[in-house]
Amino acid sequence: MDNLSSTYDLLGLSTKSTGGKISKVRFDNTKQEFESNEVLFATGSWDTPKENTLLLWNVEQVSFGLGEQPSLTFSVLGKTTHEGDVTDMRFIGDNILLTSSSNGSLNAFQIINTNTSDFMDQSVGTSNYQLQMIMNRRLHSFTDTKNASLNSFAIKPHSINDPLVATVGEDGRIVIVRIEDSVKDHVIEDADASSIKAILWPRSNEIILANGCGQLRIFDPRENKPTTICHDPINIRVPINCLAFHPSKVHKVASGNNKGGVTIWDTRKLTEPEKHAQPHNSRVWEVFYHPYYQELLFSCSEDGTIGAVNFADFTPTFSSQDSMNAVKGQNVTIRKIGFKSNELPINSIDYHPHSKLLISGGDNENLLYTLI
Amino acid sequence: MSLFPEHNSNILQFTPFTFEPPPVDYSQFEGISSFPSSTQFYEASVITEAFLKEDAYLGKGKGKQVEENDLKPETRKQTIFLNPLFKYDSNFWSTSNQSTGVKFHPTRSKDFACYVFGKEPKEKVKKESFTLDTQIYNCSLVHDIDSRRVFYNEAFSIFREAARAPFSKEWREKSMREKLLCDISWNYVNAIVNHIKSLQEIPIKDKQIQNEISTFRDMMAIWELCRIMYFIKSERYQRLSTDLLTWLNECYPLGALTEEELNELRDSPNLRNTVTFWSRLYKLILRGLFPQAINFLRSIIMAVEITSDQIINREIIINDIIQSVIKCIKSRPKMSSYDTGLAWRNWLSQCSQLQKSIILENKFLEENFIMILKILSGDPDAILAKSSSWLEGLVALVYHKYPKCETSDVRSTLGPVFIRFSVHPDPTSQALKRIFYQRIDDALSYCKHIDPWLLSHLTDLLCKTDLDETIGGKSLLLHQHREGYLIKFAEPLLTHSTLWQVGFKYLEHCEKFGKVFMEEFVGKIPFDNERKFEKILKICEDNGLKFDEKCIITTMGTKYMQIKRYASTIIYYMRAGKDESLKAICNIFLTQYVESGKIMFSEVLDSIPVDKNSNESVNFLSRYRLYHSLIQDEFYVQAAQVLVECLRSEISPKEFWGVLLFHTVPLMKLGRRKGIKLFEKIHIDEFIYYCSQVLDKRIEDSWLKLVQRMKRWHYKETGYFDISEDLNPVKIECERYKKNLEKNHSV
Repeated sequence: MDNLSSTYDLLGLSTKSTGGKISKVRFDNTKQEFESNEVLFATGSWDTPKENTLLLWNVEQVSFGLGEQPSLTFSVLGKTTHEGDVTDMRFIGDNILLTSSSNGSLNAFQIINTNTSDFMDQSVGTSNYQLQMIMNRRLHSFTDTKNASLNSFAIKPHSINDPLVATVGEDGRIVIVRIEDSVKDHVIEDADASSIKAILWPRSNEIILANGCGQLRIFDPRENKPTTICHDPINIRVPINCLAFHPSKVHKVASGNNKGGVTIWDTRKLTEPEKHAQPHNSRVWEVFYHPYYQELLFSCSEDGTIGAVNFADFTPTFSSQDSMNAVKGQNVTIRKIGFKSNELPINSIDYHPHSKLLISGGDNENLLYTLI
Repeated sequence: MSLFPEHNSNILQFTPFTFEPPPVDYSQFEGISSFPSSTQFYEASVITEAFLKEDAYLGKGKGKQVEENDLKPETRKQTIFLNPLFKYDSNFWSTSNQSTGVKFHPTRSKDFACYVFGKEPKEKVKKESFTLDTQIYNCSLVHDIDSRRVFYNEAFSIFREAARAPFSKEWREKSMREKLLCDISWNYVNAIVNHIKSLQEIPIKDKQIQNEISTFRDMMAIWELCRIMYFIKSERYQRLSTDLLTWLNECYPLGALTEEELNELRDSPNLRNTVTFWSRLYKLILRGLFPQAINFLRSIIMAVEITSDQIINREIIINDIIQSVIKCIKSRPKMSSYDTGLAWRNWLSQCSQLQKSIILENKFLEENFIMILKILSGDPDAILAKSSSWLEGLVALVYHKYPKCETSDVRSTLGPVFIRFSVHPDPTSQALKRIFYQRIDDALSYCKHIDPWLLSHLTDLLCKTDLDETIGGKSLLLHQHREGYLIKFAEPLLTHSTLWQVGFKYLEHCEKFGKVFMEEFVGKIPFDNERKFEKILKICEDNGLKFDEKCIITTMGTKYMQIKRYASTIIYYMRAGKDESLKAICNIFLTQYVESGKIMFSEVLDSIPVDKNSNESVNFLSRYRLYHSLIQDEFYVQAAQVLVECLRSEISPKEFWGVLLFHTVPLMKLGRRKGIKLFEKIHIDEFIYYCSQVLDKRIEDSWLKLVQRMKRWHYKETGYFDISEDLNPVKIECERYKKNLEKNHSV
């Protein structure tokens, strides 16, 4: 992406209340409203002792003229409490927001527009929308009395009408459930002997996991054992915190690890990673590909910055001393985006391609955003 | 280390499953104080901080006297409500025998424990006994941090900006730094204002919120004054007087007219003769609120027609005087940097001439007009006579009499002010007074009683200025105190449920003692999931807290150990470098094999990538598992190599060497039978040596137990012929294999 400036700076948005430290931000990409200037997104919080908060936001762009940077107006549309830290979040069809919790539960919230609805409910809500919990299922635990954090979930492709959700957590299990049913569909008890940090479901017959020991595991959901296990020889035993799949190449997967590195994998040959870069000096919490510039990978980190790695110019080099390190990347362009005075971690980022808005949230309890 | 120890091994130290901070150790508190009994709440008197530190006692009666040179700050009473309510059990307690006690934390003067205790009624016990109630409350006199979360986060980002201000003494960079510090101080003020606004938006304002608003207003006043007096330098030449005036009107605005005053003005037939009117006008003039003053003056201009009537002519004269005064006000030079002294002197001369020309029959009017002109001309007596407070008088004096003065000149104007006015003993007024006197260190000592945030951040910012010259013969101790103030402010944040990260970030800016406090508190942050654990770990990594880092990782590993999640346990113990604990886990797995004959740790090892830098116990397990896999897949040559490596590593307990030696028997037999050279002669000699080690008297008991357990499950089909305690099958096979080797060699 040629016009990615090296001096991007995140604009600080101080809001009155973001519900606490932000663990997740997610745009509602389920609606394709090209004519609308309004964009919905949600934030989830963590580390609040009693109950965390889910907020539904609206951001509206107002352009003043050609060549001028549009002005953005943020407003909170709805709010509800969330038991446990929000560990993952996603909008799915029918105005449903799916979240996972550090107490091991998977939750679904119905977003009700009270302007158009006759529904008169007393649940927590502000302004025009209500977020009403319609599902709360405890799926992960170490013992009967000790919960395990549900770290991430993925939705089976092409199941949006009757979503099938695979969840993973610190207990090393994969639990596949249907939102509509109350019965668990399928549980893979010993999917991993360690904690599973992230999950992708790029194809119907392929689930990819990342664990706390730095491994990727590929499962067929119908089987109980992984078909493939691999790890990055450069970052051996370094936990992998997040995964993202390529928007058009389903065999390409990106991961972020505890040392601040991002890695590109080809699931067709997992003997070693394909590409590697080091945009951060601390834990990478989320990665995602730019939807249009598909060699561009964004990441956010505990070091308080957002990284943009352009793998387009990647050329592998081979070290003569150690032939195992075949993916030391040269010519990888890395840009850093950060808010000048922010030192506190950024936990989550998301991008809305239509409005070109990159938004992030972290432990300084503020939303940080920029237009790319 | 034995596979079958007679007593429980202490290698794996189990920690409690929950990770809440340990309860306060009340045994460190001294003695017990007795107080009047209370079933629900207890009143605390906050007197002075020094007092609170030295003697842990609340209430009337006892307590050390504290000598202070300055006026003591006001005594404030504060009611602390115990939450949850103390449950009074009438079956157990008698009201006459029940007491509440309070003890302050030995190092945190604002934190204390409140507990209820007493004796059971005599008739209920056989002998006199003393029973402590279990209801103990952790209380704090510190304000509610939660309500300030947004403010603290915003302020921290500004604090970080300040930390980046360059320290160079080069004049170019120095001026940049001054500008930066000025901007930063302005940002702090904005943060304070934002917090005040958010508090004002709360619909129901209880006493706590009102106090908070009041505190923040005081903080704003002090901070803004410091900004004007210390942070604005050459760019603001000749504008100190204007800035002070703006400060006065923003922080201590002229209040609205009272109902009584409004009625008086409304009902007055002639405003010109109304005392309230002129009082108000004086205030507007003193405070430089000239547009409003001009409107006031215009309101007493009476419309008249030009006639020869004497009364009307008098009115015209008065109107002319009013217009002249208005003109005089409007023409007052703005005193910007390019205005010369000549313009000011010319204007003063005009005021003086006008003053002399005012002669009216109505002496009341004449005096008031003259007084206004005197104030405008900077007459100190007139200014102070019409001021209602020392602040108003001081700022008006500077504005009207010394409009071009600099900060160092302000001190000389203070004398007449304090002759006429006294300063309220509250900390804010005292601090403001001392800021004007440029005794910033004294001012900061009063800021202690206002808010720790103010004290710490103001000191920090002042340290970044060039305020290191001695003032008043007393050298500033800002730099010495800065760190202490910051730590004192940050300490309550360290134990806050959400602001702990910000707290630690502040400590990173305390070079001398920050690390000490980090070490004390980092291990007390509760965590129950890996994400938070990693964030706590980052604090340790960033600040070189190696020991704490290892402890926290070990805690995490032990947590998984307790629920038998061995893969995670091993990963965390490897991170922590807990070799002995890993050895113990290794032994657990080996014991499982000995008990069952099955490799139970396969899946665990599947999750742990190993390399040459891995822990040797984990490597051993990995190699041992590999041996079994190779045997299963009939790769006997490779299996033999791996087996030799396992033996040579000498990692497993000695008695397990016997198991490894038993594994050699079927391989040696296979090798002889099929003519495959699986072992070298040197290997055989090593096997004999290891046999002698296994049969050492010192491990005889463990070895015998192991063999007994193995005998339960071994089958001839597995290749284990006779498992015997004396290892004879191994020795015999070794001899045979050696002879076979020699025979083949000679052939």
